[in-house]
Amino acid sequence: MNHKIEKLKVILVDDMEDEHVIFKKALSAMDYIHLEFQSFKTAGEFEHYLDSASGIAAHIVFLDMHLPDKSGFECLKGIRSNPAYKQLVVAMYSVDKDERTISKCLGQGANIYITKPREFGLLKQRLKEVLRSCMQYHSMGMKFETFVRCF
Amino acid sequence: MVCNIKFDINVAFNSLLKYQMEKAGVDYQIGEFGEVELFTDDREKIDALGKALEEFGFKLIDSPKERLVQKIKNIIAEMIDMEQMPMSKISCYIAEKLGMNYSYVSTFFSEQTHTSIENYIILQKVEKAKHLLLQQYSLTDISYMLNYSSVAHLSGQFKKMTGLTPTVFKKIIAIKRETA
Repeated sequence: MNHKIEKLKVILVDDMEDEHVIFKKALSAMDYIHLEFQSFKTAGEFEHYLDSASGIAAHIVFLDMHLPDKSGFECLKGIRSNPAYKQLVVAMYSVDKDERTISKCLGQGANIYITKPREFGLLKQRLKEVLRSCMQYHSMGMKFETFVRCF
Repeated sequence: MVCNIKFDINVAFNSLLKYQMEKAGVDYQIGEFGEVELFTDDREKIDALGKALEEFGFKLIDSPKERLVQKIKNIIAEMIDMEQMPMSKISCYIAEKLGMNYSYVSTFFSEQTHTSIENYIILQKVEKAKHLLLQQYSLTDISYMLNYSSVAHLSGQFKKMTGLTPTVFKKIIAIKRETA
């Protein structure tokens, strides 16, 4: 179903404080969308939030592949096995750009895979494109199953 | 027993609409651009109808801006569905069809949807290509149906919009379906 989003709820799950800072900086540069940003350092913290969330938990979740308590991949499996979150938009990211890793993540149910660039400017640009893609998905009423993209 | 169900989405939509309208006791007429004219001003009836239709994934749009955006989207969907892309510039074609000024239509659409008409069309074509790929149509057939000049052109645009080649995309969906 199409609907216009007034405020985009973005969640980041990453154990590195540096990443939180970088993401926040990159996201604050998005001038045309209102964002609500939340971050978690472990899969456990994030899963706890999901258990207690009501309404739309998030419009998009950025999930690091390497978390301290669980792999991002295992966390993704957990999300997808919960009926309430079968259609939660998940973007996995890593510096790994191997096609097998990408296919594995998208095949397991991630909607988006991002190869993390090292340069901040490029990351900012890439995140902007990801968010735009997410907005388009929500507003165009695209099919969830085939909403898969690689950045 | 396993079988496939083939359906015509237009027939399904019209039947469902007819049923809901009759149930609500509202007379209606379907217009040229997919808009539905309701022959009633009874706000309560309209709201109840809107609620009933929402259950089936239909949304009643009555704000003039949203309606115009939807009209444009309907024209585009029809163009892609009929596998006929106009020879002239697409925005011009749409503007002509609506009887409106071309630059107004372009600007208006971009403002409302945060994307240009041209980009929206490419997105919709790629969505259709995905759908056809999963129905096992060949790339050659798909490029013809969606009016691409060649398979290379189709694959190129597909990769540009999704970051994946059509082949890898199919592989990923197959894995998803196995895992589900």
